[in-house]
Amino acid sequence: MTNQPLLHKTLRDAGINISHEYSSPAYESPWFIKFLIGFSAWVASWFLIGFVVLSLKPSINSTETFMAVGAVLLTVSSIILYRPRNEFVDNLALAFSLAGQIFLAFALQTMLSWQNPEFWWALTLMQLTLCAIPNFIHRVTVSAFAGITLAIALAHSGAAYIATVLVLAMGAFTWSYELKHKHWMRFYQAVGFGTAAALLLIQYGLRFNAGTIFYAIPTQQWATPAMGELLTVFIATAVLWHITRRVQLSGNQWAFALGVLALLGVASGFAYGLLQATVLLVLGFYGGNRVLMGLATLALIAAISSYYYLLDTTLLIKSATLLAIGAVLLLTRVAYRRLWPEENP
Amino acid sequence: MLHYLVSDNQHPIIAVIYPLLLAVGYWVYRHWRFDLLMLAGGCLSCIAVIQTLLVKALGGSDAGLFLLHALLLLGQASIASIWLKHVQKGQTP
Repeated sequence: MTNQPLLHKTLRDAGINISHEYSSPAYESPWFIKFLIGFSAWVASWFLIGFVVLSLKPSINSTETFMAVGAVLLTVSSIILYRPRNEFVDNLALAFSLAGQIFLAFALQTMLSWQNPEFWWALTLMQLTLCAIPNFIHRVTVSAFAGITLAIALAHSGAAYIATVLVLAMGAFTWSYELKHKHWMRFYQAVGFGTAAALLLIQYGLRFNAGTIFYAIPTQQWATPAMGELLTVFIATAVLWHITRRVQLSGNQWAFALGVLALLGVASGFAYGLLQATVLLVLGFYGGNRVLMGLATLALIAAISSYYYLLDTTLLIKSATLLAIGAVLLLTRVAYRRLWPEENP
Repeated sequence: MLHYLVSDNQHPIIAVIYPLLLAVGYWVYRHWRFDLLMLAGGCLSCIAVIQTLLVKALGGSDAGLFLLHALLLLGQASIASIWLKHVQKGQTP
């Protein structure tokens, strides 16, 4: 950790004036404390649902009651979270909001049915609206839900194979422009973490056979798997262009980088999600964000493990494919070090 | 550990081992090798055990108990996060 008094003294001695804004930085609680609060609020929200359902037992079955209870809970939580008070009240508001969202989702399900894309679009719209509430944990949670519901909505609208790619695009945009606007930094970070968590949850969902919600749906699919991979390569290229624009890559380096991206795109055709996780990993490395790198690594493991447990290919072919992907990537690294030794001291 | 602590046929020694483990963990990660992540993990474990024991002891047959469980859980999480932030501030030079 930085020794603030020593740093300030050194800067002052060097004639650098430190403004009051930077002299006493607010303590930022680490991700695991935020996770502890968020997880407790999530469990508490189910207790609150139990409380409301048992309290209103005779009349709770109607859609209107679900809708009214959800709206009241969300309104109360929005008012509380808009101006932070104390730890307990903020956690309670977080639990109110989660419970309210579940009640509204139940009401929407009764009205529209989960098999209709309109239901998932309505949920996405609700989650995106809730992103306006200025609470970091709340924003991360609703962004993650928004990412998941957006992907399912797209899948039910015939775009299953580009659904997660659009969620990735959202995450790539927020992490690329995180530092661009100082006042929006916290917003970008929250949405970025939310979308990364959404991608990870979708990846694990696919791993544990939740894929039916994406692919085994009656809707006619207009997007093809190749379209999804091409779009992912395009996003990866855009991210690469964004993070290397100050370094000025040479033409050969660009050609090499595009070759690697194309290679990862092909590998992603086998182990779905490999390139998406790599994009997140690169963004985490670019921003020095260890939490994002951790999430990306988990997504990478999920992609490889999902592929390894696929039932439509023999174990021998899957092992050989993974071996080939690993060998080619390692050879690429060796080639890069040989071609540009000055970049790899 | 949680399973053994809250299961009906738990061995009495578990009730000794678990607090001992928490105490050792606290000393190690607070005073010897400071690690806030491990302290947060200990808090989460403590909350999970206390809440599960409370649910088992009080049950959840009526609405009031559900509200009580929600408030108790949020209270524990608030205390844990306040304490962890306090420890974090104390460790920052």
